[in-house]
Amino acid sequence: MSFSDQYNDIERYIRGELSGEALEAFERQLQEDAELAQEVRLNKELEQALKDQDAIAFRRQLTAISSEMATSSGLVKAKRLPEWAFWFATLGAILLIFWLIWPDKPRNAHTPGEEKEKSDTSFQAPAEKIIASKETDKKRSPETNTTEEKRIVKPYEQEYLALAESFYSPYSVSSLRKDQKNELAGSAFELARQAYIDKKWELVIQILDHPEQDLRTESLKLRSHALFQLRQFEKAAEDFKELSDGFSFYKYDAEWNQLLCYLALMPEKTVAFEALLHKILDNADHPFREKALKIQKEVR
Amino acid sequence: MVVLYKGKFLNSYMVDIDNSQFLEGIRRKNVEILKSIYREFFPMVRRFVLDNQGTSQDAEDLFQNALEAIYLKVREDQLVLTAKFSTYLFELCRRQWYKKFRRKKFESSVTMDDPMVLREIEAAMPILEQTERYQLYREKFGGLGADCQEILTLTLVEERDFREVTAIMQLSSEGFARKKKHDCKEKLLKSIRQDPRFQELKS
Repeated sequence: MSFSDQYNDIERYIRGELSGEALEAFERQLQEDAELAQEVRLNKELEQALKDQDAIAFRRQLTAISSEMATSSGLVKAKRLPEWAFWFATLGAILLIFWLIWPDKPRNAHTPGEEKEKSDTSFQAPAEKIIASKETDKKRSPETNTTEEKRIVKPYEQEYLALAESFYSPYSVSSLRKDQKNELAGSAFELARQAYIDKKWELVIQILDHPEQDLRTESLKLRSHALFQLRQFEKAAEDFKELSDGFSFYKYDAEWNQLLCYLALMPEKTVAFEALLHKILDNADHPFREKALKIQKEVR
Repeated sequence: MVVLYKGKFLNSYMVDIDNSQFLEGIRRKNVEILKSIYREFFPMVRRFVLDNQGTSQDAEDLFQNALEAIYLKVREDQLVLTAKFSTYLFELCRRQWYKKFRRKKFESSVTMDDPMVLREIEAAMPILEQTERYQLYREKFGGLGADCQEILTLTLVEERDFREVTAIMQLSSEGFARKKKHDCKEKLLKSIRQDPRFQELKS
């Protein structure tokens, strides 16, 4: 039997077109020849895969949705920070610690608090840059003078703060669909969303002081991150906690950010920090478990 | 619970959709439900894959395979979930990924306290593996030239006879059409067999 004949027989067998002696002979051959059996299976599956237009259409629909969401939102395909960024930030934190504990600092050395006044930031350690950039943000926004911000941060607390901020990823606000845009135009949530995009953190908090119940989860996401940006970690932690207690896939992000808030408030929040850290570490499926392990090492 | 805002259905803020709504949405290919599923659950799958040496494209493939497998099961009325939809979906993605790496030690997110859930996931594995294989076949088919795709569609999918194929494709003879179909199918099968994924997916 030629190769071509065998293909024909396979196709005819799959479609139930073989009968009588031809069918019996083919089935005998199938039982004896494992390779032929495998070939029949492959051919059968191939035909099924190509014929199932319904499944193909479903798949196309998924691909279209994925593309649409990737275009309309930076969230789905957003690139994560490279690994080196973490190590760079860690190195920066270590350099900062050395700088803080070094006994013979030059007299004209500036404290981290004075960093914002200095225009030349070209030779700052990464962690210092993070702090400096936050300070610069605040300087741009006149509404950010809050009680919690005025908290005097002791040198050793700076270390925790820098570490928390180096691990922090700002929340990316997704774009709205056209119908949502129309529906939400002028609403408090939409105003807060715009304020968040414009990094007007204080305004976000003011607008979302009493979020509408329908949009509470989305509102809390904005408010908690705005609070974090303003270093109002106590309040931010409360919002993140509420988010992590609810049903949403954002709960893991919320739990992680709540941990960062506690870290920033160390050593005052050591107990809460430890408890939450272990909760994350005990969950083998927690998406932030690896990062939590890194923080655990850093803190020790 | 479907969240309403000013009387309108807002899927991006859906936080409490239950299993039956997800499954019914998938069965009906409801765009809004599918978007919600993507928006709510894909980031977690993506993060898991990226944290395990994968790429965004890998995550996309796992996610779509899992959803297609769920679609095939609900289409045949073979799926009644006791597990949370999110647990089920994420576990299907995880299992594909671990299988890909042939990890000996497999840590399931489903504890032994959930024998029902475990059974549900085990029951989905054959169709999930089939989905992975079918996706590979379709991908290879898509890699063929336009002529080959056309003749294989006419003969394998639409099951047209060679007289019709010759006329539709304006070929010189039925004999030539047979030869062309044979060559194209051989090319397709060869490309499937040569793909390393085919060996992995063969059970």
